[in-house]
Amino acid sequence: MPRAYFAERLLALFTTRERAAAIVGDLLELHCGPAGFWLAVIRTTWALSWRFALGFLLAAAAEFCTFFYVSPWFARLHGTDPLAELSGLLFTLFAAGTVFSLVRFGTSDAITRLGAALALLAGLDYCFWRMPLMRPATLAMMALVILLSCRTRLGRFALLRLLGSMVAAAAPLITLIYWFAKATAARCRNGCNLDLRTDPVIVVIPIAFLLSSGVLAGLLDHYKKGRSQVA
Amino acid sequence: MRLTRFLEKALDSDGHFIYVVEEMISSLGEFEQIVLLAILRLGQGAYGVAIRSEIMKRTDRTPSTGALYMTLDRLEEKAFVASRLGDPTPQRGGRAKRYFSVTRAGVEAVQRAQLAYRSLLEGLQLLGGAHA
Repeated sequence: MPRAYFAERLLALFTTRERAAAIVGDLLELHCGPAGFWLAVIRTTWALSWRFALGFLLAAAAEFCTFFYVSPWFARLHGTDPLAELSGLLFTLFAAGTVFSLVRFGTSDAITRLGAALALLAGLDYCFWRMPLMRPATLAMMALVILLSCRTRLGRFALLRLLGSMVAAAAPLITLIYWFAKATAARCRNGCNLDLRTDPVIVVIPIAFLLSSGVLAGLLDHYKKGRSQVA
Repeated sequence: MRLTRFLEKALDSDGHFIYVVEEMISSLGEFEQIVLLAILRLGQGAYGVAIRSEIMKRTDRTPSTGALYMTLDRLEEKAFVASRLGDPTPQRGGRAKRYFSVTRAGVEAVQRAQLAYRSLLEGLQLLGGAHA
């Protein structure tokens, strides 16, 4: 039955293969006509996928906004040092991960809470690192959050998945932004009026954020499947 | 005071801080309760189509298949239901049924929710007589 095969492949994009097959079996039992069957398939696919799609788009927007608007605003205010730059990058990635997890898994999920706590602490360090005792306090709090997470299997699993996703999402972001900076610098070695708003090279920026958020969303979504085995 | 009680309760349980907090926060929504009760009523034969039919028969609501599967997945994530695959059948194009059963945690969650309802109904005369 080709319609069942295609429906199963479509649903398997958003759930496991076995679950997709069971859902299609149920839909075959429920709906006799092709129109009713496909309507049910589309509605089920939508129900399974809208949180992922929305979470991915909002994570990309959060990553873009923290990278280009929030972080530079505080950098102008307080300046940065190498550790603050790292905190800024962590803030960007944790914020994006938290936004995705919030939409996809909800407020009670371990990744959402862990990501929000780490994003807040990394953001505090990046924005207010010049304030006395701010850096030791944020580092101590980060260590405490990580320590508390490590006390349970579920917490350790969430922490590892979050950190792994952050590293994987950072790779395309850093690579493309570095390439972009190098490409624009090479073209204007002797100084020029490069208008980035009209230059085709600007297309790299949204690609970098979409790619990074895609990696982040894909890996965090994969966490959902593993979590039920851990819990 | 509330926060202290909350933390005491959370930290008492073998130090499973995150798990306990997660469990405390994850309360049951109305549809989740309906689905859990339908699975309990069906016993061994609770799979997607049967659960949907039971809900339609008992509540006069027609849940969409998407909403039902999302709820079942969410309940499984919360460890309130467990699922297993049955044998493939020719009527379903050789596809296996996914059977659901309510776990102990799921039964306790339903009981908690129902007790809360009963407590709120106590003394009210909504259905012609006072609820005990």
